[in-house]
Formats: sequence, C-alpha cells, structure tokens
Amino acid sequence: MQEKEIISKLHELKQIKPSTNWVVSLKKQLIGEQPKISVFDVLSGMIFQRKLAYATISLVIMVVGVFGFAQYTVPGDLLFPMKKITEQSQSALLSLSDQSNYNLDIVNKRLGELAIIIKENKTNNIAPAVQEVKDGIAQAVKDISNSTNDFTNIATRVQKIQQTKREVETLGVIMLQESNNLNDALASLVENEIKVLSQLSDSETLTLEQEIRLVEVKAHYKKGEYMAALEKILLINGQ
Amino acid sequence: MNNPEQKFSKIYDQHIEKIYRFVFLKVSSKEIAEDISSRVFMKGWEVFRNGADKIENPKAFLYQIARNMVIDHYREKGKTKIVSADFCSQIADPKTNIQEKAIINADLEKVKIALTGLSDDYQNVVIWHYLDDLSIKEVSKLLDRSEDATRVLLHRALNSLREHLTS
Repeated sequence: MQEKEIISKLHELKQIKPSTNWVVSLKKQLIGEQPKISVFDVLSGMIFQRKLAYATISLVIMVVGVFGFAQYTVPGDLLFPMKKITEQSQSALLSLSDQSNYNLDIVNKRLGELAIIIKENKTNNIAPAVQEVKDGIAQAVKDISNSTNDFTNIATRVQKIQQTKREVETLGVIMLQESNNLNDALASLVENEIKVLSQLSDSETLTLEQEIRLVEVKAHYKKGEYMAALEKILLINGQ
Repeated sequence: MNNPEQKFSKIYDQHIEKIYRFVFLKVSSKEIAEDISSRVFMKGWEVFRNGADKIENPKAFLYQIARNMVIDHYREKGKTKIVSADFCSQIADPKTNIQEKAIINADLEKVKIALTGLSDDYQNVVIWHYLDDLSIKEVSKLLDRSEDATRVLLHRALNSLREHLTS
C-alpha cells in the first residue's frame, strides 16, 4: 500500500464516531439539561453586536414610522393596507365577542374616513373607501347575526354607524343595499328586546314616556324599520 | 454565552467525536472507549468548572487527559498496548466489529489494526494530523516537540504503519 493510499485510508477512519445516544446522554450527565436558548437570548445576542444593533434600530424606527404614519391614511392611500394589517392584528388579539364590537367600530371609522375623503374631494380615494365601507358593513351584518353580546353593546355601535352613514349620505354617497342589509340584520335583536320591554310593560315597570316609545318601537318593527326601532329602544333604555 | 455550562457545552460538542475516536483507536473497544471518553470529559468539566480561565487550550487539555487515561487503562489492567493484528480483531468489541465492518472495507480494517500496533507517539501523531486534521504546529505543541521534530516523527510513523501493513 502506497503512502498516499495509506493517508487516504487514514482519512476514511474518520467514519469512526460514537453513538449519538451516548454523546447526548453523557452531555446531560455532565452538565445537566441543555440550557434552553430563548428567542430573547438569541435576539439580545444579535442586537448587542454593534453593526447589527444599528441596523436593527434603524429597521425598528422605519417599521414603527411606516406603521405609525399609516394610521393617518385613508382607503386608496399607498400605506392604507398597513393600517388594515394593524387593525387586523389588534382584532386577532381580542375575544370573539370583543372582535364583533371592534369590527363595528371599524365600520364606523371607515364611514368617517369616507366622509373626510368626500369633504376633501379626494376623488381617487372615493371608490376604494366606498368598497371598504361595503366590506365592513357585510362583516358587521355577519357579526350582528352571530353575536352573543348584550343589546346595548351592539345597539350603541350600530347607532353610531347609522349617524355617520347619514352624514355620508348627505354628502351624496348612498349605499342602499348595505343599509338594507344592516337594517335586516337587526331584526332578531330588536325582536328580543321588544319581548323584554313588553314584559316590563305588563308588570307596569315602564313610565308613560317609555310606554309611548315602546308603541313606536313596535310600529317600526312591524314596518321592518329595525334601525329606527333600535334607536327608540336605546331611548327607552336611557342611552 | 457567559456561563461555564454553555462554554463547556460548546467545547464538548467540538471535541467529543475526536476524543472518542482517539481513544477508540487505542483501545479497540466501543465500551472501553466510551468509558474512558466519559471520564476524560468528567475530569475536563471538573477542572473547567473550578477555573475555566486556567485552561488556555481546551483541545490540548482534553487530549492530554485522554492520553493519560489510556496509559492508566493499560497499566491498571496489566494489558500490553501493542497487540497483534489477529489478536486485535478478536479482542475488539463484537458489536463494534459488526458495525465497523459494515462500513469499513478490508483495507481500512487493516489500517485500523496496523495503527493499533504503532507506538504511542506514532499513533498520536498520525491520529492528530490525519484524522483530527491538526496542523504540524498544533501537533508539535501537543507533543511538546519542535515542528521539524514533529514532521520527522510523522514521517517515521507513516513508515512504521506501512511496515505493519506489509508484514
């Protein structure tokens, strides 16, 4: 066997390795459980490297800045998707019942943005803003139908939506289909509340003024004007 | 990474295979190699824990412990270190033999056995330089010799290995 061949064979002896189980168990035996390296350790280790630290800080400032600035955007703006991401992230952290409330608040916010867009005559933003409101109302309709929240929580938010929607309508944007859908979604909510109020009426708990409003509520309900009924119920409840 | 456990953990990961192989090639038994390697690292950890700063070169430190423990092993057991090729394959751990034979061909097995028959210094210089990829400079430090002397030793070790293979 030539020297080269011998050296080559010697290199091949590197195949001799201990069993993995033995290596792991000996390590455990020697220095206990492997220290668990947390994400914080890794990140802090990286962050404290000078250059990386500058880069990290710059990146954080940039991201915070961009997301912060995005909060002042309206539908149709370049950074508006970031605003939506922030909202969706916040929504994801909430419980299901809080999520439906949050979504109703967002609808109101979108309507408010639409009103600003129209007032400031940002013609390019109108179509995306209207679409955002439509999407928001569609989601709100689903939330109201599936919601287990108490009447007041939903009703006060729906009332705010209704008020902002009226403002938008005075500016010339009417979304009839969405208004009808939102109105219809309130049917069962109003019906349940009428039952409760009727029981109070039977037990003569309501004042005369409240009795009169209850009659009006029932009239609105019969006509399918659930939104109007809801607003009157809020008045009865002293909201 | 400041605590001794983490530092030693890294040293362990870097050297466990090499130390095991170094010992295995000298004792030709999986169980004995595991036992000695375990004690090498236990001793290493003990010293490291009580004064990590005192250890300048963990690699040299671990190899030195391993060398001493292998010498102690042969001394305690009254075993001769130099064994014939035939005898060596008989005393080798049967499980290891099966495992090794599955991956190492006949020529390789011969080299392994021939290596076992070399003197301690020859074995060390060959293993460190050709298997553990230590430079002549590193090997010379481990052996406490000059680099020229280490080159000569390596040359002689290879000649001796060739002789064992042809005999």
